[in-house]
Amino acid sequence: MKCERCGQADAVVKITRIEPGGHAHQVLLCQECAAETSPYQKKLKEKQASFEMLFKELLKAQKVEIAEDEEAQKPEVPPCPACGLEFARYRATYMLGCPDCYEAFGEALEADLERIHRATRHISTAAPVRSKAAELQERLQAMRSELTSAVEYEDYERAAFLRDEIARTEKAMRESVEDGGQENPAKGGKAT
Amino acid sequence: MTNSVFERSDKWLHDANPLGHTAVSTRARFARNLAGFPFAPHAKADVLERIDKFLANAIAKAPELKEFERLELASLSSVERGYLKESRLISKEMEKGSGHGAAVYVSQDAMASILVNEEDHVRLQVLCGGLNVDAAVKRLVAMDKALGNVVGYAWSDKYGYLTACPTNVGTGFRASVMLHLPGLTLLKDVETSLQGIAQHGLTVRGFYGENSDYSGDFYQVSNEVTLGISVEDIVEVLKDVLRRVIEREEESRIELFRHHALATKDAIWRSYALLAHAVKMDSGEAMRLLSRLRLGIDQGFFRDMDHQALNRLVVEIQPAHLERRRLAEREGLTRDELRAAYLRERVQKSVSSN
Repeated sequence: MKCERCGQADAVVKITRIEPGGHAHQVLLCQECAAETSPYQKKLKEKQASFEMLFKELLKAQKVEIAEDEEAQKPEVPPCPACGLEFARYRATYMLGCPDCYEAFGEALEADLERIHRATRHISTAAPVRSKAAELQERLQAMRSELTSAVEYEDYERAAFLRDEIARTEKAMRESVEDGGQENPAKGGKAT
Repeated sequence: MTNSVFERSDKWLHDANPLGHTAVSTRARFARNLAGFPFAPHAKADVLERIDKFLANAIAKAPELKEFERLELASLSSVERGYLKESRLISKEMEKGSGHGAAVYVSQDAMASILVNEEDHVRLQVLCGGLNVDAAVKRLVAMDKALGNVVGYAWSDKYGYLTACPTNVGTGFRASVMLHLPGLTLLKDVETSLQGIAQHGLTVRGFYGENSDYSGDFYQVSNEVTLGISVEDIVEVLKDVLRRVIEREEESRIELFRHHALATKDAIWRSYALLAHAVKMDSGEAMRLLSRLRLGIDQGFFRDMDHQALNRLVVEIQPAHLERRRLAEREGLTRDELRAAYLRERVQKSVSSN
């Protein structure tokens, strides 16, 4: 249907006027003619125009930002899956986020280790004592990072399960510390 | 009692001091972190507090660590924090930090301490007088074992002990020895004597560690490399380099008193005169003058003063030490007047029978 005013463009707006006698009169107009005849339609058109402008500007700014980011992350190192720390943030302070960052940043971090220590591997004279507390702590860490990804993928059933497991493990860990943290009760255990 | 920690916090200064004429003190530390917790620098306040609680629980259950007394940083005044820093029980970072979940455990003799939530979850450290790396490391290893029995350290077969900053990874071990090198300084030989130290994975810092200056001819030599080398080898390399530096210092003192006897003697006694009579003095000047006095002790100039007594003065003229011991009748004095008054009293007494 064509516009009832200009007869050229397609009619897209239906304007209803209430005439002095209370009689409603409807007219179908195109965007242009509607803007000319109705103050409300005129405003709407202006708004749309300014919105388009704004959107264009935003898009332009975003493009620049994206380009800058790409520049900074050329040798791409994914963030640590356990704590979410990005490699660039580590580099800003040289402070890692958690023990898992070492594995997560891999070669990029080893380049730093080589520069600092002229070595990338520990020479072990003795591995640390493995206590029950250590095992519980490691399990806890694994569950915490799994919980983060479960929430991310909206697997709330799994997340709820993990939350309860974490609480249980934390309680067990507190108790193991109270027992002296040793499987061997001879050391640090209560005298009975 | 908190008070007692402050009274005995400078115990390392009275400790027996092998090679005390050149070596002021030895410090050894391990950086350790708990498996399953984020590192302290990126952890939020509530996580830091959880780590602190977890460690408090563990330390209380380790029989070997029973003697340690706990101080919470958040409950200390700025003067008290400063005092502990000047006594070298806590670091500068810890003194200025937010205090969230931060605590220090101090042994009965105040020569061993456990820092919680500094840069790493745990810093175990031992301070001894003089050059005493072996004794410090022995005690440190025992503390490490005791704590390792009750907590799980963050560890990897590849990288060793995992630390917040990769500069400490591997052994997490740092040994540092504070040297007093007035001979080499006066003969302008320090740089040549200490250059090349980096080749051995060692580094030189000032009296209060990183970013502090070499006031009073005090130099801290420590290992920088912690990865790809064992604790035993680090200790051997450090001791070997120190032995050579100390020999050079001894030679340069002989040279000083042989070829520049008059100027050297004059410098020492002028320093004494200022310390014994000045009315105000900033800490930089006091450090410089005490350094000269220390050189005079070797020569038997001050019969009633030994190296330990002088080490004490160096620490006790620091701002927080002065403030904490400010007497009521000295309420109105500026810090520099207070320092000068304290030095007059101590230095005059030290040669009273001369």
